[in-house]
Amino acid sequence: MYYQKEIECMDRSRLKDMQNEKLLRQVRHVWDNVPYYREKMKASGVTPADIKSLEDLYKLPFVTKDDLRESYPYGMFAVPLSECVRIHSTSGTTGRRVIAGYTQHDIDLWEDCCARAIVAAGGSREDICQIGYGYGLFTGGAGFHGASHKVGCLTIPMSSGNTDRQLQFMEDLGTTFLCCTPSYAEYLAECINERGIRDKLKLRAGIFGAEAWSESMRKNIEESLGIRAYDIYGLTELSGPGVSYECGEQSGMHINEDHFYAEIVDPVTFEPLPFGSKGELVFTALDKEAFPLFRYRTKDICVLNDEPCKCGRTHIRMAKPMGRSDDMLIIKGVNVFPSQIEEVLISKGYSSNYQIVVDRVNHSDTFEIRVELGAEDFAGSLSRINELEKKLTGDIKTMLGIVAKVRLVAPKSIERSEGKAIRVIDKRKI
Amino acid sequence: MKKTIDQISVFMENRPGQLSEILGLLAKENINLRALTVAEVAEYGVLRLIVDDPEKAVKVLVAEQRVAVVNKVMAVSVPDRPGGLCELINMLAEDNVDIEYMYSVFSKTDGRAYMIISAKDVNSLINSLTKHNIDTDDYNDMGIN
Ligand SMILES: [Zn+2]
Repeated sequence: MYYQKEIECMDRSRLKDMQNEKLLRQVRHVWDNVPYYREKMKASGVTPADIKSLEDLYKLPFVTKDDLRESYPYGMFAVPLSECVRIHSTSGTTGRRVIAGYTQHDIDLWEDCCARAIVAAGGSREDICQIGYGYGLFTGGAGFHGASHKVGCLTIPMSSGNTDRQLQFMEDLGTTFLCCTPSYAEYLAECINERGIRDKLKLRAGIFGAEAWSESMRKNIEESLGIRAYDIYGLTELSGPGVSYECGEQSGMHINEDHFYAEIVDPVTFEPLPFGSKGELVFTALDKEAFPLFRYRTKDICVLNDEPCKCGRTHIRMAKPMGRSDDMLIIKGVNVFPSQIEEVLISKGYSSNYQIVVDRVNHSDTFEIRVELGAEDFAGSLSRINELEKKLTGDIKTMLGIVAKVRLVAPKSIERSEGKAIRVIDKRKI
Repeated sequence: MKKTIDQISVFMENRPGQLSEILGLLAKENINLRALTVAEVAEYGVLRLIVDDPEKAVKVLVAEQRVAVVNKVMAVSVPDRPGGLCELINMLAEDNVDIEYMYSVFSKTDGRAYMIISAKDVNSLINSLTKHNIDTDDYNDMGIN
């Protein structure tokens, strides 16, 4: 089932024409109305005349989170405030928050994107949709709320927290569709099974986003709730959830390419990379009016896939982001993300308390991974430890393509900062 | 049936003070040591202990975030004559007993030398010792209790 079949399954050449048309209009719109970005374009020696199609997109300067902070609060808005109907904001744990503005048109296109996600996850007007994302400045609640209306679900605007009430409504009102963060879904599942009320529930699917989650977490949610769990991706800077979403195939998230154009760039040189390469995900909003961003650097490391999908949608898919470009290390010339190492450790049953130590000796990088040993793994023999280290070295080489020196260390022996293990020590920078 | 004895293996990183920390923890709980040996490679080692209350010792160590487990080993009497140990080892080799490691200890009660032997397969060790009628000791003989 589709929400907007004519767009979701649009012929790719027609889609490209549509994207080109929108891009040219958007470049003009921003040049005329956003002095901050116009100056950036001028500094890069680009004028709207230089952008004739998506092929020229690479000429436009990137927008980074720093730009958004610098232009706080309204510096990136491209329409008068009288045209805007709402703002949302990032949580902003460091520095200034980002204020994203929306016209009614922007709200509509965002809700359409989320509605496509709900329908792709099997949602329809027959569903009772419980929204457990926070309502307020955060985009999660509002995005799904509007989308649930558009699909015609009976919408329960629960917001986040108050687990007792969530469960009571779920049971009494017959919730069939759940939208919340994956960690909260896991917590709800735990409570549901503890209280033994799973059989009284009618849940059948859910969309879980706004934070990173693994395949094993998906499996856990699906099994413990007896539902299908779908992933979704988005950023407040681009509108909110629904920039991309999973279909029934659950193998990558379809990007809503009629509104958001994706690129992958090298996280160090920022050169555009071909399809299938791993790099930083960059988005251009093609037709947002109030807060239109060109080449916004998400800092998410990702891979794009343009193979046709069995579901019939023609829009390309992105993989679940595999790390943040800020966390990337270049070791022996290879891009390494701590999240990749964590994935190997967890899949092999180790604790996620590890530490990467990188140094440079005689002009070449040394790469050591310290992993805290669990009592279950230690059978009391030296050779067993050696064996475990060798195995783990092999697993990590398979993942990264380079060899790390793996060292098993005593539990709690890795230095901690505020309770968390210090993940990376890069002595090359000292 | 010959009895195995419980040995504790503790994972140790090679940094100063590790051994004294571990022994201090056991002393504080009045756990008595009977034998001790350390096997090590460059970065870590395994401390092996025979104590009067292995169960309690592991509990104490685990509570202090140490990695400690109990292994089944045998205390084997060594014939008290030149070449005695050599004979024993040859005999085990002939029976295809795969020895992981061994170390010696003296009994408090009879003053005899014993080898603490850990085999990959403890049953093959027991069978070989039984077949050749070699003395083994349990805790009482070793004078722990
Ligand atoms: Zn699909």
